Amino acid sequence: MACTILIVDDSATTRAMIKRIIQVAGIPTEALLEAPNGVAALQLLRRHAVDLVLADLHMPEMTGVELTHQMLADPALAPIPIVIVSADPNQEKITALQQQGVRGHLRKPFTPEALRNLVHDILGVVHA
Amino acid sequence: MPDPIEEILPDATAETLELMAFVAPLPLEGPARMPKDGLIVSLRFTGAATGTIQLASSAAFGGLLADNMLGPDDAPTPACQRGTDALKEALNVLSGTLLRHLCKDCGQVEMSLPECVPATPESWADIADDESALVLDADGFVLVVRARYKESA
Repeated sequence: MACTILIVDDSATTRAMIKRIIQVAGIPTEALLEAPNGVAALQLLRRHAVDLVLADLHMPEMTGVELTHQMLADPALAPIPIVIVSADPNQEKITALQQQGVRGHLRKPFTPEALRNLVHDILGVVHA
Repeated sequence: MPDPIEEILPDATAETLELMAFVAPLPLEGPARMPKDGLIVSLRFTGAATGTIQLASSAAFGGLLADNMLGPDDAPTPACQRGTDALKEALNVLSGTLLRHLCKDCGQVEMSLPECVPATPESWADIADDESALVLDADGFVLVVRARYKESA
């Protein structure tokens, strides 16, 4: 079943790269949405039915940590799986987010295979 | 005792560039001359250690990074913007790798967002002439990386 994935990262290049990896991996998607920060991500989440959020941590206006907290506090958004895709060096921070409900973590730099496998595992999609 | 930064900087830089953009850097032979489109990207960090990690290169190298990450047909933004963006993201990723190794025993650090400014002869020389800096040839482009830090009391 086709899914909608929201990619949240202040780097346009990284967002485009993630999109490309997902498309090349053949993961069936209805839409690949993008946001440069947590504020824009929340606006999209309130307008679209999203199946997975891939979020960086270090972003202007609203960080990935704040975005995660706002999503988990909102009953409409809390069920949406969140995967952190970040270069943040603090394992304690990542562990705390996972204990709060974040479903996965992918540390930058990542291989296309690692991203593909993580999306596959979270969504339970079969490779094309 | 060797400086831990000097020990891990080469491998961390190579890992970042190879995984992100299929670029295998080598030690630069000769002086690190400032390119006409020189850029300095800086990232500060605070917490258990305080310091700055900087990358000096060119807009052209940033464009190569972006093209390698995406393929030229996938460019979401004008060439000048995506080159700067790719350099900032490369520094972000490199910094995360460096700080994870550097601070595994000393506690948490918080990274700022990378900032990119045009290089001047003075700012370029400040980094390129620093003996602690890593001076590289990255697919024919000059790339200088420097990390300075001190552990917080």
